[in-house]
Amino acid sequence: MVFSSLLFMFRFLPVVLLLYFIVPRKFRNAVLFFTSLIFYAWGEPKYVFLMLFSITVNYVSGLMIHRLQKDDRNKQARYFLIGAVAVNLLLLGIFKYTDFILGSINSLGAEIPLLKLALPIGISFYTFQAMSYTIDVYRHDAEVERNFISFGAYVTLFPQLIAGPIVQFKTIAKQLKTRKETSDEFVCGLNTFMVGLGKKVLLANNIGVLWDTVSGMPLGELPVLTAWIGILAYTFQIYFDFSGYSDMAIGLGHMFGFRFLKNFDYPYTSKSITEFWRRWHISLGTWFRDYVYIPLGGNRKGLSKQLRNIAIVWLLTGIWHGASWNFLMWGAYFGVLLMVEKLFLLKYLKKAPAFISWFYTIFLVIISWVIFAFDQSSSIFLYLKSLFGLNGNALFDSQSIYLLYNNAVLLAVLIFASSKLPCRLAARLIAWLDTKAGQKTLLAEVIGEIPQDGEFSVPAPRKVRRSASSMACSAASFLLCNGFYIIIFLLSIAYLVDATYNPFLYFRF
Amino acid sequence: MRNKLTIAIFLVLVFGLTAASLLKKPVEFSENENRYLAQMPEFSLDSLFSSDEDKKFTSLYETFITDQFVMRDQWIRLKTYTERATFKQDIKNVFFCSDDYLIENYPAGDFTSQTAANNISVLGQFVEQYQEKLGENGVRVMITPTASQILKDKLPPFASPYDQQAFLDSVRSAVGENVYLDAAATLSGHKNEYIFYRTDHHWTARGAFYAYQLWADSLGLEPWQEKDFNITEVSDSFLGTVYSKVNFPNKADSILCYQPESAKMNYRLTAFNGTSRDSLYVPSALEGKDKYTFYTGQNDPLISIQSSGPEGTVERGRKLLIVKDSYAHSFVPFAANHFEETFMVDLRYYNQPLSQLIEEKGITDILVLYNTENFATDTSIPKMLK
Repeated sequence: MVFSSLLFMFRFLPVVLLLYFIVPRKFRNAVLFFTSLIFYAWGEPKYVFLMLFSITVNYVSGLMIHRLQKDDRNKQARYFLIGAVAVNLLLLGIFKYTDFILGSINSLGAEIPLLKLALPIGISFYTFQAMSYTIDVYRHDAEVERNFISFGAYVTLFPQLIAGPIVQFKTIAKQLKTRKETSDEFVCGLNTFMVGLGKKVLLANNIGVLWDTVSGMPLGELPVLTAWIGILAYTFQIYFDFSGYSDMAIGLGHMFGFRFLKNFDYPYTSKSITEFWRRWHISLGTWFRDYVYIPLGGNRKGLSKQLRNIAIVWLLTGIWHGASWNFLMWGAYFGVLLMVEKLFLLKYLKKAPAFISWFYTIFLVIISWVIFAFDQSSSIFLYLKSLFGLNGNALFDSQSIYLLYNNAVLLAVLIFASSKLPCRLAARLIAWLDTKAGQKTLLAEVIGEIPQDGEFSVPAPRKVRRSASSMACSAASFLLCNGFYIIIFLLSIAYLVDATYNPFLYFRF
Repeated sequence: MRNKLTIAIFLVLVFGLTAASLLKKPVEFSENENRYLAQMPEFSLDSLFSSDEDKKFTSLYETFITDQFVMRDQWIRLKTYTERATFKQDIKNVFFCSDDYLIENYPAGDFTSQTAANNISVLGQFVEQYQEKLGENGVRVMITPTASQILKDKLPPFASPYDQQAFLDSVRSAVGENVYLDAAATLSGHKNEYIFYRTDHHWTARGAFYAYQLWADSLGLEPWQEKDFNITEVSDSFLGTVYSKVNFPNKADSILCYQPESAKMNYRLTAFNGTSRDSLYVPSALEGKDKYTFYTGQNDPLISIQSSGPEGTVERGRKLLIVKDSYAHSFVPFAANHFEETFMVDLRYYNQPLSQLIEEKGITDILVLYNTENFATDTSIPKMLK
């Protein structure tokens, strides 16, 4: 099941909300666990057992590692850790990578039959989550979880189950035991969810149509302008799709009292590739940093080791995105760029005018999406050549102009929406209205996220006498806040009812 | 307080729409979309664990919810309004054109696919086979381009729909110059007339009439002229399939009825299920949504028409077979005036061997009449050779 569907919003969600808020607090994890299993089983009735197996393995390993360590049997604890990690990776390997490896061997002349297993949806996400728990227990970074239901709820939590963010156990361990569902949290969650829904349904899906049009044309015959319009469309599609999905997950989390960490932080405003990867799919980057890069020694064992570690992490990041050579190339591309920046470029980028560093970054990111988008290397090179006019095609034709003006409004909205501007403007406007009205502004309400320090509101407002104008400002601020989200919601429903086009991009992750 | 109100609005929307869509009685048929909507699927363990998306309970249920969502048509209209508000010139491959035209574009892939290439080669063999049997002039092929090809002047600026001419050229070279009828050229010659519907993917009776003249000429038959017909507008409220696709208010189309004026003609039309009537037109269709079926009714596996009339009209002993899609329905009222018997076969539904029909009925002339899109994508074309 995906969030951006009528099935989720008008069947699943109301049932979960009802169940969750009427049962006593101690049963709420159980509600989440079982509804999440249904959420998963809806699309994958068979693979739900695979997920339960993975949960059990990690749950038992956690318990055993904890007990063995308490008895000072560290060696045995280590065996359990290695065993658990091996099982996790084996599951991932069998279901995601076997055919890729066999296919690659076959291309060298062998004839091994492929397994042809369907990829269990979300396996890359939940395996990483479950694994992080076992490792954290071993490293004493997380408490052992004795309650199977709570642990099950953590792994299967439907908001982040199939497309992330990858939530580390230690970040929500406390919330699994004690969390408070408040109306502030709920409203913040709602707003974040609506923003995500709009990003996915209204922005990503629509610009995706443009990308489909362009990528469906003969790639070697694309005029330069058409090729750029196409890859720009894909650049926006992948960001709004993925970050929209993360926003919906984070929003739903808030509704049930969970605080997941931010997964995207305006990545297209970055001024270096290093910064881009601190802003793009943050939970994945953090995972690889905590469980691969730092254990390998990170940057503390000399430059050559550091470069080696970067290479390993980025090849893994690449192949995590899908079992195909282009994802490996994509990872390697970023690995090389990051090494170059580490070695010398970063200090120049910091000194350069902001526009130059930004342009450098966005240009390289856009090029990376060409590698990401096609799984045939011949298509990648054909497209790259078309981008730079090396196929001998025209600079533009009438169709390029048509595609450009036909999507001009949408493209302008996308550019605006990927900058920090809308958020800042809205926050200013609402805060101004609220000051006039003499009421406190809920930052959460305005920017759809709760400040990390847990402060919800701006400092207490000064008392203003109730007057007609202050009441009007109060009403205006309320209407602006809610009207925006309601419009997004209604438009999204309209687009979903008309669901001729609602692809889900992450089945390969 | 403000929070509570926000939450209340959300809950009312979600639970309200959920309740409304649960309580709403499922609609069987959507007039607007001209198709049967999905119904509540039957539950079984087999369908639950099926790996076939089309049989899987969960995906069928999701289609059911979407198809039956409360106020479906209004939501779809809201979407179209939104898209138009962002100055989009096409929606779902439908261009919003000048003179109130909605023109559908078909993707390049339809014409460059394996099916398309295969259909052309099947047609080539078919023509060769029956030319041997019925003589040089026994077979004619007319593949008619759709509105996006002929009414290019009406498209939004810079719009470049797929150019169907290359496809037509390969049809021409597969069937031979003598057999191929260049409907594209004829229709282009009349592009400023009302030859395509504004809201439907078919040609109008007038468009079909010009094509008929081209065909009759090529057979050496003397084509009827416009003055030979009494032309009446029988409906001015036809909103066709292209309209349904975008569901956006548009000027409606008119349906024209061509009745022979000077000559008294008699027809006997027999449908596949054996029912027959003495008119080529179906006035009751004008009360429904799909008013195009005014012309000889719905697509039927086999329709036969017996014609008789005064001297100089029907040619004794000549029997025509039209292998066709729905474009032929507004064409046949003209063609039938020349033949003692006219048969229309729709290969999508007709499952007997075509050769047998040709043999048994003593067919003397064959016309293959399709529009480009249907001919390129129809997978039943190979049945021609059976």
